[in-house]
Amino acid sequence: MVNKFWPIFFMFWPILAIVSFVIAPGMDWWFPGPAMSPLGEQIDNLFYLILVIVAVTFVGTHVALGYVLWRGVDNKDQKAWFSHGSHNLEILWSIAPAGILMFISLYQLDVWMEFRVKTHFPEGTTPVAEVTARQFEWRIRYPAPGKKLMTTPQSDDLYTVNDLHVPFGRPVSIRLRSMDVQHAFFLPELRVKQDAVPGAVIPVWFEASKPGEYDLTCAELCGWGHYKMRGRVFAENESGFEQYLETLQAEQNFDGVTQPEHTGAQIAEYGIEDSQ
Amino acid sequence: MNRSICIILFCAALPLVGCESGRAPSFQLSEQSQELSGFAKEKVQGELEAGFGTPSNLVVWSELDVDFGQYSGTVKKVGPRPGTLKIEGEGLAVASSLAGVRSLNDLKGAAVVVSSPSSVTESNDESSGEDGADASDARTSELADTSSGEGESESYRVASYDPASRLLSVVNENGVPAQLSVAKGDNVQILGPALQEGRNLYLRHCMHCHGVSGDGAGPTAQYFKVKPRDYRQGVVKFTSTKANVPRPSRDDLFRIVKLGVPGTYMPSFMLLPDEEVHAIVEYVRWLAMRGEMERKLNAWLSLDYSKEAVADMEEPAEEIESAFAEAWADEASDNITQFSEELQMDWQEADKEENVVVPPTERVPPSPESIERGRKLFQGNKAKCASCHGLTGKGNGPSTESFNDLPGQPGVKSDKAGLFDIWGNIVKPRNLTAGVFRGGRRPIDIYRRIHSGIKGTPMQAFGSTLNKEGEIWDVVNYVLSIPFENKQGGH
Amino acid sequence: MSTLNPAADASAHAHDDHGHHEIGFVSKYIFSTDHKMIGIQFLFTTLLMLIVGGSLALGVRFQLAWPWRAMPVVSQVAELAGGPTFVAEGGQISPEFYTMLFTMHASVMIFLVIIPILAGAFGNFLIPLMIGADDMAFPVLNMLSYWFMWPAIVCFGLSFTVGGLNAAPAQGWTSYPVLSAIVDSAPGAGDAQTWWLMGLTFVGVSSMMGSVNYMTTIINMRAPGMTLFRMPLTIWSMFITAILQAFALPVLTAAGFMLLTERTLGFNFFVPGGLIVNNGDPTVGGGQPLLWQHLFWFYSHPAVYIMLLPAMGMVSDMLACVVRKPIFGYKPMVYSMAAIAGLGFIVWGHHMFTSGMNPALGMTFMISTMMIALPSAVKVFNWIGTIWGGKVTFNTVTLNCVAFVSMFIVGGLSGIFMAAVPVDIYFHDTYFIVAHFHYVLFGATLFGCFGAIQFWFPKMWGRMMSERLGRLHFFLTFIGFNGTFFPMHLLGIAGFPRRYADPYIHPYMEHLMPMNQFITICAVIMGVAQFLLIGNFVLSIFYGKKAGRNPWNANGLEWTAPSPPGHGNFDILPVVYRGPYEYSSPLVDGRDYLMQTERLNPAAEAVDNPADDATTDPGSDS
Repeated sequence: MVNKFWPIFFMFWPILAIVSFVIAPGMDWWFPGPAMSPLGEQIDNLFYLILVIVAVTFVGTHVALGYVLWRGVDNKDQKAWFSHGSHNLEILWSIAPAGILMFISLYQLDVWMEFRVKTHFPEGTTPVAEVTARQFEWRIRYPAPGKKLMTTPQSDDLYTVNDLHVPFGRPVSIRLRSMDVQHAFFLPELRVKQDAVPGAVIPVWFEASKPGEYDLTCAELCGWGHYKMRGRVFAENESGFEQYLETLQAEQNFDGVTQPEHTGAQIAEYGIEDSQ
Repeated sequence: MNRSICIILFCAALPLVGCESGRAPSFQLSEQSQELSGFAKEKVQGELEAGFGTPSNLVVWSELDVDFGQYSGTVKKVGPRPGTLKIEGEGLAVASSLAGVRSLNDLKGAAVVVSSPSSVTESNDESSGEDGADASDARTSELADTSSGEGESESYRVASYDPASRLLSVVNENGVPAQLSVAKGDNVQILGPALQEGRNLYLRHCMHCHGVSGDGAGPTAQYFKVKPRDYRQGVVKFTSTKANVPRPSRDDLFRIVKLGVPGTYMPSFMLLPDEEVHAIVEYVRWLAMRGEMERKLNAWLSLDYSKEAVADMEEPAEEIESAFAEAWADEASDNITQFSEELQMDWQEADKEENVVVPPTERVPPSPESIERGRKLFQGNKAKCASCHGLTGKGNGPSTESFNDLPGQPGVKSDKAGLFDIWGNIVKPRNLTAGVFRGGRRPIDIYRRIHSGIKGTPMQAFGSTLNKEGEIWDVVNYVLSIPFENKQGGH
Repeated sequence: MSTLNPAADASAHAHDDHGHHEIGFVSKYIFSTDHKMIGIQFLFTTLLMLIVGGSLALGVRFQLAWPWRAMPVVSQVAELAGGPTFVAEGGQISPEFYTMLFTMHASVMIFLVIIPILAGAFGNFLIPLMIGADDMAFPVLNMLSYWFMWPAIVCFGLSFTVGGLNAAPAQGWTSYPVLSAIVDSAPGAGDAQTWWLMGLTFVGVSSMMGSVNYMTTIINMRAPGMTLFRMPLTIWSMFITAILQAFALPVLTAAGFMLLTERTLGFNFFVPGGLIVNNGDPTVGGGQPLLWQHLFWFYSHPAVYIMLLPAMGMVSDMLACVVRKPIFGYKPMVYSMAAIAGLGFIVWGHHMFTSGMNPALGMTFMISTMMIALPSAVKVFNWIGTIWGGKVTFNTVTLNCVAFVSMFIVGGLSGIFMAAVPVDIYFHDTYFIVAHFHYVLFGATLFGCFGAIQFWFPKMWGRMMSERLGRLHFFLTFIGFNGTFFPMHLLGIAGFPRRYADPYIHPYMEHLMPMNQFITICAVIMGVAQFLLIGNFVLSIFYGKKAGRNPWNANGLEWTAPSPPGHGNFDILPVVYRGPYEYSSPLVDGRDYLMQTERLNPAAEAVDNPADDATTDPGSDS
């Protein structure tokens, strides 16, 4: 019976693995919340589909492995089974996985196209800001309220840093650039990621399903401050967004006289709530 | 083979011995201090430690204009082990947004003052520096003797505090669990928690560039083209304060941390909660004050007691040393009191509302006429902007290649060509065509740069030169328009 | 194509000639041209580098578990070095030091451990022995390929010291420009990066030499009767790996030169114009950052198969031996390896889905990446089929091989998530990827290497390694390994990005610190357990139980040679009559193995091997 220890040992850890995946969502070791964008929901669906397929394969192969080990330890015959293989089995386990894999790869080609191919962006996606990543912050340029975002900076453009406001509930896009090295615009809760390539301007669209505050992090090594590039996307309704731009404009045009000085302590008033 | 296994595992475990090394960050003496002769350097070191402590054991010097913070509560129970107290009271729940980060010292090292209920708690503030009390007393946590004398208080340092059970462990100044002679109902004050919070945040976010001592020479800093600020002179470039007020206000520092300094490696900490930024600002101010105290001590001592000066003297070493000891005993206390008063005044000035630069008139609208006037002023002889910034604002004016006065030392020419700041770095006048404004791009920010200059750099204050109404605004309008010159309108 | 005529056989000729040739100490032990000595030299060197790479990883883990605490060893070293770096900070590291830790961990592990141990150590030692040759085709080239490792090690080592304690290469082992191209963009992008590139070049040269040698040897120097489809899978894997090396490496070398000239001579392959780095003047530019990524991954994707296939081959051989069964589906196994290698050349873009390349490429690479999962799956099924119906004895070799299969299943399955492009949008550059590649590189390859060390040690030294220590090492390593890397899947799902020195300033990751601490503790257990392997290895060289020629009762040609083999390897020229997997053959009674060189009753063999009898049919090749 001592021999049985090792087959049990090899079966123990896959069980542990599955248990950990089952309890993970409850322990908050899972996605940072449900996907907060329609595209993100589709991504999550594909993830769960693959998870089921992978789980079945994982369990199946490990049950098989466990079985053959268990029986192998017990094998008291003088010799093992003298087999060089089975042609039929080879065909079976070539075709079946091939089919499944092809299915997975074709299943969401449309999602990919919608995300990245400009001609497939949702109707009416409007560029709302230009986001320039630099070491180690996100510099954001909005057009003046009521104006369109131009490809070159305009004298009445509005600037802020690390705090991207967008209207929720409709697809918006940003022009993603980099001032120095490669960065990546990563919104975990919206399941959006796109590298910011120096020398290029990449349109990235997304839609926040609900108003709220979403984390923005950098996902491409950009130097010692890679971890410091903490930003946020603040999705609000249209009027709130307009108002935000207007307060930004007022702040940007502040001449020290016309309005009461919003001292540093009151930057919070300009739509930048304390993320407490 | 058993023995082999043990030997192998033991050898492997050896490097792990280094785990609890007990190392901690430590303040470094400045280059100037290093130039003092040994005995003088020791005294300086001692004074700085007495007044400011070490990064792990901060000293609360209530003289200084720093919000050290204070938590109050009462003793519920003494025990269970020697040196522990159970506390109750609202203020002692440690609100830390670093909830997940356990690696930094929560409250450890903070000064604890326990006093019987009859003593007046406000006496802590009054006692500092009054009625001839020794300055050194006011700096330590021992506030007992200088109070009005009613009731007694004892002071210790926090070894650890557990918010869940509200158990406070205290040690005396030697690190040994304190023999507590307190009773239930006594007042407990923990001094300096706000500063400690600031320190924790500073160590995490700022130290690797700005250095432990705020000298701008952290490990990462040497690789920057634009060096991080060295706080120890108490000067910061981008302020809203008048030209003759050298220190920045709290608001200035808050803005810098929140918005960053574009065009440098100082990132924006926009998403740090405001309380954390305030705590960082307090700690930075405190570091600056420490640096300034060191400078003042050096200014006083280096004339006579630097290594060079001592080497030049004819008297034997012991004589010089005893002369120094005498002089120190005579003058140190008064001088240090004076220095601390200077510090307090300087920094308080910066926060006064009357010292904020507010333009007398509203901004002149940025019409083409105003911009044209501004251009003429820029390129003209009155303010001579072009001599540094260049005729087109590219930052390539003739001053960048001539031998100029050192900043803050009129008449003393630098031996290297170009423009230098008070930290010894070469500075390039801003290239205004790029549209990157380090101190902020609002009209008021540009106004303040022109009006009060950029402290510490050759960018002077032009408030008195450009004194006609609307002149500065014209220049501001021009400067803001430079990036868009020769560009077609986009609308 | 095989050498069928004994009279013309190079090995026989060589053997007779050098029967009593005396060589000095230096030629025998240092600049040896004997493939066995070179293989052992590679083994020692790579095991040493394993310790170095592992220690760097422990530094990474420490920072993630207890951010900004005084780092052990680093604090002491900084103090010894006299500071000032990290001394004033009390041993608290700075962020660029962290970026160096993971960069050099990966660089050392990939270029100085995994690739050399598979091809250099095992390839060198085993290929001539398994195919019945007396040495490699080019012995001097072989010696050079080992000694070119040392300039590489010196270059990597120097990169740590030039410029300062915290200015070692820090741009990731992937070394993407613009970060690695512009000297000012990071502290580690100065001279250190240049030395790193030179180290890379030396490693590349060493690999190329090796691969040329292996291909030539395998094609030309097989013993009579050793047709291609009688070669052990180890040899097939080494052969295919060598082809991969030969075709992929030049691209990396070219890219490395381009980056080197960019940094030192001011060329502009990768840096576009108008960038402002470190607040300097705008770059002149004209280059394209994506170009590097394409060139780099064109090599580095086949590289991951270079780091996998030899282990697959060796595990196949070991498994068949320990379960006393032929390998299940030998030809499908060969074809799968070839398919993996071939497909491996057209999947590199799956590292670049979010990079900004043309989205149409995303679609094509997704399909080819999905397809490459297929041959790997086939191989897994075949390994399970090999164990099926076998007689399993659990010794160290078995344990490591079963672990290989089990861990490879995990690594392969986790790869499917990333192959699906929409899901990769989320998982790219998170810890999910880290979990995936550690499962295949460590869980599969390294466990395979541990088994291989145990298995072929008797052939190298004539002694057995300790079973008890081997099993204890396996037990601790396996538990430590899974405890370290399995939770990383969950971290990746939680959106935990790679290469972050302090992830906890992001609120959505604050709660993940306890898991990271758990991972670090398991990593330390795993690290400490490796000393058991080193100890077992070193002590067994001197005190191991003596072993005969064939302690495992295995079938391969190497087990006909003495343990350790002398100069020229074999007493007599081996002649091969069958494949290497005839375990439990009904053709023999009383034992369950039938060696490749055993000549049985020709009539019985005719039934078994109709196309056999090599000595009379020079043209047959299968």
